[in-house]
Amino acid sequence: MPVLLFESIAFGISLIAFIYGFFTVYLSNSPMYFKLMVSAVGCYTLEELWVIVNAICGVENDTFSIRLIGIIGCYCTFLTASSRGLTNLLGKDAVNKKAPKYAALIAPLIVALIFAFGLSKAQIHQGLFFIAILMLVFLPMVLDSYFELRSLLLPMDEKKMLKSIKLLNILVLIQYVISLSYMLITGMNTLLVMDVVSAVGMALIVIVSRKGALIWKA
Amino acid sequence: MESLNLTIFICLAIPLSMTLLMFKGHSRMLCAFLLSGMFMCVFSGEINGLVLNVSGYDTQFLAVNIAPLVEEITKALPIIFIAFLIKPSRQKIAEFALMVGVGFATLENISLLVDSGTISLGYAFLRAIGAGMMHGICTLVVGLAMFSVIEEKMVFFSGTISALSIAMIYHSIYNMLITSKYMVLGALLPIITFTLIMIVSVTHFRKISAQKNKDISKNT
Repeated sequence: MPVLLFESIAFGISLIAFIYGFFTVYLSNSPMYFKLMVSAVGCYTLEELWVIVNAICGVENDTFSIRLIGIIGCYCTFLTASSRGLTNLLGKDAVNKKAPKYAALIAPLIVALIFAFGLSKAQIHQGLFFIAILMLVFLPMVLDSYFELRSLLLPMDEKKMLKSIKLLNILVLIQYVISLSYMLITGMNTLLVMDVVSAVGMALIVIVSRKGALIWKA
Repeated sequence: MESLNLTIFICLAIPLSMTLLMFKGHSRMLCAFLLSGMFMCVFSGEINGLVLNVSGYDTQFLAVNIAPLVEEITKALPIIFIAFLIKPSRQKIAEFALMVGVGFATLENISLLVDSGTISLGYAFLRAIGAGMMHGICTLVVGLAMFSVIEEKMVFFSGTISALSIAMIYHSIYNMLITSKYMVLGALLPIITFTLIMIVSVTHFRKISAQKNKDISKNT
């Protein structure tokens, strides 16, 4: 019952956020960057729906659950957004000249270290296969954190849209920190309230995406 | 590998293959993708069977967690191939993707219904619409996503994985519902999704064409 309650709340929040983002960002001819951010929220919403349907239908999942694929998809969409979206908005040359390449490597290093530390503390009893799947889940997060930090290190200059991109980058990085902290605290056990916190984070990402799209159009 | 799937595939594929000789251009491509969808159904059926025998998972676990993974990847293979080979337009890749999904669903439905023996007309109808739309929608999403991300390597990999993950989760939700007591809800899910997609597409395109007409009349 608590599983259904928390997951339903998380699903409800992310579904409302996705529908809002779909109509205000997707259908309003916004740049691809913001559309991909909303797509990531859509992926997360679908993954939450899976958890609810799984709880209702009573399917048991031992070593592997396709839910992990949903989480991989969500992080991969963020990765697609940040790596493509930035070059799309600013142009490849502008990004290469202004955004420091090597300083931004700090982010994936920190994320990878926290993940490795969390993995050693976590209650891994399902063996190498489970660890391999976990690495697949966190690999896009590690790669994406590089692009997110690189965008944050861009000088502000006269282009206003950078302001909204930077806020989105901060939000996504906070989401990653929350996910990793949750892993450290719980040792990979389920902490239901974190799903609600993640859903609220996704909702904020949609709101900021809409504002960013409006600034871009202006 | 003598199996029911393969037998049915041969019975369907040979007459369809003859049309490949007679059709030209786009019609031939559509028929080829329909056949490739059917072939992928046989291929993924064999992989699912192998996993079932080797892993010792029960059929419900396989249907929910493994089958969507295997089937969506195999269905995406013809789309990836054509996307890199000829870089078709958005409309064409959508049509090809839909035909792969429809071909896959057609063979899957026939195999399942032949395997089940006597079934009611209502169940057959529900199964046909539900599975057909679900496979079509999933492959369509992957195809359209691939069109958007084909230009850059890094973006292509992560974008395709995102699209595949959405298709896999959706497929898994459908399988969970259709194999439970909520079978009707499972069959309704793709119908509702398809209806929503059509409503949004039609209203959105109407809005765009109205805007275009407005701009043209303003200029003239």
